Amino acid sequence: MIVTGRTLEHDATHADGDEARAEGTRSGALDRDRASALARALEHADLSCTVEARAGLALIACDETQQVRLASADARGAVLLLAKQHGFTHIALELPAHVTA
Amino acid sequence: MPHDTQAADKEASLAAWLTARGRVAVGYSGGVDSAYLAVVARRTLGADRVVAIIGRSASYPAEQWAMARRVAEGFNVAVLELDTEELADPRYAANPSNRCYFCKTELWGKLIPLARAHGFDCIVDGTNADDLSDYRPGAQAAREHRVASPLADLGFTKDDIRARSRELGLPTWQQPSSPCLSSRLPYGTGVTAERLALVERAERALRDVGVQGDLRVRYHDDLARVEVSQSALAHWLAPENAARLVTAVRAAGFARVALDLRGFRSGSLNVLHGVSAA
Repeated sequence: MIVTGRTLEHDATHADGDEARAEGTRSGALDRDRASALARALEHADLSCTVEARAGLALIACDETQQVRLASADARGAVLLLAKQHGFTHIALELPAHVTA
Repeated sequence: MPHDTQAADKEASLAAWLTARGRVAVGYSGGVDSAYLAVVARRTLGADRVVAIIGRSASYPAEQWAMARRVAEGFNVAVLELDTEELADPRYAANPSNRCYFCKTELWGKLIPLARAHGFDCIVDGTNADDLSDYRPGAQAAREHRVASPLADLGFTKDDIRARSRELGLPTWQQPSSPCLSSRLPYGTGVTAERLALVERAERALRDVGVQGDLRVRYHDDLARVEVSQSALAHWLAPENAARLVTAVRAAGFARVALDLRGFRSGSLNVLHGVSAA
């Protein structure tokens, strides 16, 4: 099982001032928590993947077998529901750069 | 009453509205709505009493400009073009949620004097009735400049416009909606000519590898989040097709590529930033 809540703290890097940076750190921690929780929920739903939170966007990455499973509308529907339950408005699957055509 | 009949009745009302104005200048992008409005105006009023005016800038896709010119030429609609410089306005370039207000202020601020210089006092745009329920700060600029929106006022829905466009032989009838390229950048992410060009290259590359219908490349710094129509998602999730998609978008200049699992939705970045409901 891979549960990874990688978070890029975009908000903090774009803001100025200590207060903004502190706010960015807080939101970064929150993003990590949400990403980890969503990764666990997806694992529970039989989808092993990493989750990266970018504010309202959950960016997931998984292996090719899981990617093929997501071609099913039902599987995508379940993933969308879990993402929404964890506070994300969007979920996207990162496509690997090394796949062979 | 059948939908086609209702739409035809609305078109008759539009013709009467246009006739009452005598001469109109259409704010013209070559999208579904303004193309339809320009062609109906041309058919109703004649070639000398209608002009379609295009505002060009880095946020206006070249592909759409080509369609705008093609429709105008095919239906003998006179065209004027002007350059708009909304990217030079820091209020626009900062990309606030009311960005469209500053863009349209720039557009109408230049278009209306040009129209008047050519003898056109009535300025119209292609806003339709469906648009009224969406978040559109650009509409405020239109109101402030007294731009009329007859399609909205007469109750034309997008479906009406597509149905009548098909009937009139307009190539835009099944064209996906195509808002400006800045709509691909999340609010707060600065609008630059380079970022817009990157998005435009990526979308063109995806068309070249076979993406049809609705398509948006949403800019997230190093990441391109690609939205295709829901019916196309299964196809593009197949590894061999996904590989083509990734290759195309990376070649355009993005480092990372993701496919949105919900598929295309209009105003997607409004939802991401809480401007409209998820």
